[in-house]
Amino acid sequence: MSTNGGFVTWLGQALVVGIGWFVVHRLSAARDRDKSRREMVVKSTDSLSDGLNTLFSSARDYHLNSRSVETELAIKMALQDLSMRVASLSEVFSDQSVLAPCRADIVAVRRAISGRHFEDEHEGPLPESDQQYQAIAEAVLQAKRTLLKVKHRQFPE
Amino acid sequence: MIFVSVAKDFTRYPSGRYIKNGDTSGQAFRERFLEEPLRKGESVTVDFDGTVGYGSSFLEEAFGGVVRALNKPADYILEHLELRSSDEAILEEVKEYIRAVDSIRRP
Repeated sequence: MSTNGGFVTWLGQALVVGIGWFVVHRLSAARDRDKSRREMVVKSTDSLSDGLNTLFSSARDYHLNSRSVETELAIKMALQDLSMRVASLSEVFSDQSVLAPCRADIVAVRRAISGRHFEDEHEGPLPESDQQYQAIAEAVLQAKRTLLKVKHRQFPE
Repeated sequence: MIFVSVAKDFTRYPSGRYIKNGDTSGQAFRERFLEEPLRKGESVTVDFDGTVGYGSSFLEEAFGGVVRALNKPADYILEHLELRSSDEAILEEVKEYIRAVDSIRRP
């Protein structure tokens, strides 16, 4: 009888330890996954911001100089790449209140760079005083600010 | 229902605004694939995937230009036009152009 009682007690304790281990393991794994996810979002936003800097330089050079079909292609591909990478953020970050403005900002960047004086409308260098340069700068800055918000959201207070 | 893949049915390199400067322009795309079916009330599905990228001037001329060419309201165009892209920003931009031209067009 006492042997049985001892065994049951032991079994109960083993069960509690086992369940406890399982719960802690699951919580720890979830925390690690969340940390990896946040680090991925931070890396992505930093990379996107760098991409915007490069695109800004390319766009300025394109409009300041004679038309270059090669540069046009590179700019369009870079814009598409940026846009797709912003879209893919939604796979690891679900806050649409920040992602939707990100998409809108990429649209604004594309429009500022390629909405005028682009491709067949490029008839020679645009003077530095032209407002298009300011429009491009503002669009790029706005996009970078929004990306910064996405990055900071990974570290709530 | 007409289905158009920009990359497969038109070009992988959409470029420019006006047809006088090239047959891969926004005007060329609009005149070839959009104007007639939309004028007749047919539905058109446009798939944007597969190209190397778009300039805004191409998108504005192709889709904003449809509102100008047909003189129809944005609602009519959007009702008959299905837009597909893995890049949602393209879809948002195209719809903006359609609505923007319509808002200028209306008294």
